[in-house]
Amino acid sequence: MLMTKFSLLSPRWRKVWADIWGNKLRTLLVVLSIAVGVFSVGMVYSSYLMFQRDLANSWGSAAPASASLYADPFDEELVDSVRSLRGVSEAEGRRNVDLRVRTSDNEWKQMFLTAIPDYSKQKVNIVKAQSGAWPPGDGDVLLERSSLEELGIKTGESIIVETPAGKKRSLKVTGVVYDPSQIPSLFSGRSYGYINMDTLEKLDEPRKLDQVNFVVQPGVLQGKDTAPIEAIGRRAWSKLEQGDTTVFWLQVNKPGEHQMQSAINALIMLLAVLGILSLFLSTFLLVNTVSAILTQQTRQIGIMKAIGGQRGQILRMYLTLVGAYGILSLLFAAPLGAVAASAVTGFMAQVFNFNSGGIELPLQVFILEAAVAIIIPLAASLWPIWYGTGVTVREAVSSYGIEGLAGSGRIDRLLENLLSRFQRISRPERLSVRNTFRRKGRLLLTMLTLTIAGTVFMAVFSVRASLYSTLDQALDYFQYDISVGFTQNYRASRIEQEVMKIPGVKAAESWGMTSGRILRDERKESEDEASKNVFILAPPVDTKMINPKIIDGRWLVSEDESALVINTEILKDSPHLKVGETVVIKTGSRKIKFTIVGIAQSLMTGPIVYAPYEWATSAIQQSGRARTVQIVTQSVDPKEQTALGRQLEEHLKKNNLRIQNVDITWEQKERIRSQFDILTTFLLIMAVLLAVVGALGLTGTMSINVLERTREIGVMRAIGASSLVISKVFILEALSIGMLSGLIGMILALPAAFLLSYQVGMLFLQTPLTFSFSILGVGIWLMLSALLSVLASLLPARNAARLSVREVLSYE
Amino acid sequence: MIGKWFSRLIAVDLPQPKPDAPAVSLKSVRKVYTTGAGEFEALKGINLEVANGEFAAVVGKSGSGKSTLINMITGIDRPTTGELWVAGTPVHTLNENQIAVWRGRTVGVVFQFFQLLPTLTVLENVMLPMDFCNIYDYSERPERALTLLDLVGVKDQADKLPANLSGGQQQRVAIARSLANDPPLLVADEPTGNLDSRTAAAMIDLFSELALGGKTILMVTHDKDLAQRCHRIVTVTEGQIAASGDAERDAYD
Repeated sequence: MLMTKFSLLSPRWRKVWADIWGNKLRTLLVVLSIAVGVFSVGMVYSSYLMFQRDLANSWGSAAPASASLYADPFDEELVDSVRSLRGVSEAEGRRNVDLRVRTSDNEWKQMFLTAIPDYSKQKVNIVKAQSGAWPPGDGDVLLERSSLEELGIKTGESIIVETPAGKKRSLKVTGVVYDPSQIPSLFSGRSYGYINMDTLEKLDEPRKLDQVNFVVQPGVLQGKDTAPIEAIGRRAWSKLEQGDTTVFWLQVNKPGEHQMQSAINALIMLLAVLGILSLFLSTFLLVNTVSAILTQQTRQIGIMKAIGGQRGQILRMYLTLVGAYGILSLLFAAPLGAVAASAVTGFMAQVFNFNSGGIELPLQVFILEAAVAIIIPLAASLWPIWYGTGVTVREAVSSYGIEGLAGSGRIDRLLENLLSRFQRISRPERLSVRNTFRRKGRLLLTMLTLTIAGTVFMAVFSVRASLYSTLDQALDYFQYDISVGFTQNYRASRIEQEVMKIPGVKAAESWGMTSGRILRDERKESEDEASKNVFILAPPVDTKMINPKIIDGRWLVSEDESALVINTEILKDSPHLKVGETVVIKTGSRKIKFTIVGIAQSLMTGPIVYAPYEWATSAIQQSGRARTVQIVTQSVDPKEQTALGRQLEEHLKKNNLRIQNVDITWEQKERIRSQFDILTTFLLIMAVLLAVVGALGLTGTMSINVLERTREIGVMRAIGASSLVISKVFILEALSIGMLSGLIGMILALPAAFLLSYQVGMLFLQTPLTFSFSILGVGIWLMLSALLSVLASLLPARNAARLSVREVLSYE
Repeated sequence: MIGKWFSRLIAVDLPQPKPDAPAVSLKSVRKVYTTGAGEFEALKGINLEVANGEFAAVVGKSGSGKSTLINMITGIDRPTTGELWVAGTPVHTLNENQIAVWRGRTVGVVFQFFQLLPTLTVLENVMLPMDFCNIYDYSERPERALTLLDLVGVKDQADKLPANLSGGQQQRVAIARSLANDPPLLVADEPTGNLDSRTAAAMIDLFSELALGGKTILMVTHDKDLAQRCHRIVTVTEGQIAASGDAERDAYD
């Protein structure tokens, strides 16, 4: 019986096995610390790959347009002329109708109905059937899947829309489609529907097109540069104008970039930071744990050497041990990483309206994970193992389990100096402070691990805080509660009179509004280099309805004539603009010259320029008239504001004022907030993961520290220490490590948070975030590290204190 | 592959032992420790020869240098100057790794605190040195270990972990382990220090039997009566071997 039992493994490999299996708590700790690294790296890398894959499958396969032209209604032949342009590989015309729709909760919202001439021959921005009917029949509409929730309407029900002419029409929802190239409803706040050309007539619209989407030939592109596309776009523009069509706008998309690319980039960057840091942390953790194990095993190494074990043999034993831990971690972390990655991708797919391709563990991810699980631990443990197996037998065997001799370095003298100043510190307390600094290498590693975890945790919280303060600042812009836009200009006095008739309206202010494009100067050639479409708002100079934050120059004053305030969004497209410069804006067929007097910070408001009401309305020959009215309500309750918006809409329509849109500010704020929430939620998940890694580190080190000192505990007990005193010694030690690393982390977190906020801001909003350092994050981390250190040391210390003196002193 | 690479990296060649040499031979061995308080000379030029098959007791007060002397002989510590020959091998010329291999084959070490590996069974503890030195055929090892355990009288404990054995039993296992590779020399550092007197006496009987079987045995002890039962008493005083006449008085006062 004995023979068969032991012929499988020789004693030294049995010992390796016994070290793994016999000390399950330690094995668990080591495996967990490796697994955390493997898991995060695997999760990040798979998420990234799965995300790329899904992006390509969903959006890439929809043949996204390189650019789109928006114009007055035109005929199909013009599309053919665009398609025949050199450099254009495909072009397709569509018709968009911007109208109002009634949701299931009886609210009116914006809707974008797209008419596609032939659903079976789509070439650009391909819309795909998802469920129900395909293609839409006469009088039917197919809803975009991201709009379903927004509308609260199911297939088989009908929607009521209100045409630009003010007529109500009913359309039957017969199916659901997926339009990967459309900004999801969650972000745009509008619903999307798809109809056929015949249905246009039902909506009192001509059977004509008003948008051309085209894709350029791949050979034309120069990386991500939009210039080649713009060049072709301008030629397409002239083609349409030659066909007697007025073109409003050319929208050029960055090649290969999704509409929501900035948010996607911010998420991917955060993911990468998370992955690299976790890898970093678990490497530290590992060196820490392996050297702790070896310290524990010093005596055993000595004995093995005394009975003939060579360094190489012992080295191999411990490397095998570490390798085995690695394999265990890999088996455990690789599937978990894949599951987490599919959850992350699922979340992103939901948010960005992708098709999630499901769980997958790509080979390259597994290889990376295997490298992280096995090679990094081996590399990290090589030095401690080499060093540990190099101790002489005498050193190993003569160690009594109580390390001798006070240190004599500078730090020790400093510490002793400090301790001697505080005479009231009790003996056991002195012991724990000295213990903390006794193993400086170990302390350094533990501190490093905890400090990094703490730094990033606090930095992440600060990025979150910065996002929120940026958000608050962005939302502070809106001082009005409701904004109503009209399809044409009406007399300002008439608008205000009608609005004030509604009970609950506190104040109303009508503005001029139009759109145009910024030119460098008045020359004809400059039109080719015009900016994107910008909104020109003409509020009274003393408006109380908005609170723009001026970052350069000044706001408008009543003496201003051709003065203009631009927002920072404008600068992205026209970075050359400065305060004091003149600028030409082309609106309709008019060119108006302005002098820039100020620059306002803008966040998620789009490109806007502000001009004084009196002057601007007269410049476009609409003096005394307005196209939009901003309203402050008496109630601050969101529901009542929404209700008031509906009442306003009904009343104005009854009085023959044609309405383009009614925007309720709190709904708009919610939408902006939900975009921020994607990032803040993500950051929170990151912080939790880091806290877990840090906690594991502290738990491991503390437990091993205490285990290592079992004999010392016995000695203290033998000379009369109570369990309470012993526990106190260790808790105090843990607390001082936790607090010290917390404080260092706090100092480091400040620059780290600043850098990270800047990066997130640039990626997400193309502008730095309003920096805010999170005291809450610092508080949570300090509490957490204190709590964790106490927990991590309390359990082993209690166990040790429970042992009898005899047991402890014979303890190996 | 990595295994092979390691073996090559740490390949060990031992010098051929001189034939017909005494079991132990020290020539002017000095050992100096450098401590915080300055230099301390633990051994002051020791000359000692122990013949094959001798059972010698090494006695001396605490701090006399007897443990240092023993550590030299087992290769656990190295002399500062002087020559140290054990079983015809010049130990002072070997490096740490050569010493490990040499020790595994030549010297069986028995410690005061037994020093068995806690996670291995008694049988596995005895097999471990064979495993390291790779002397016996793989399939022979368990049988040989059982024979040794039988020799020291703890065969029936073979499957237990060391923690479940009494002190005397653990020390018997440690002796069995020291015999695993059939070394010519056994060195025991206070092997009875942790045992009651009856068990200690039994242990000395065991050593005597082994000496009769041809092993050379060096045993450090504090116990006067136990020392008297050895063939020879070597007394260490202040880092030197005391002359025979002074030995009695110096060792036990």
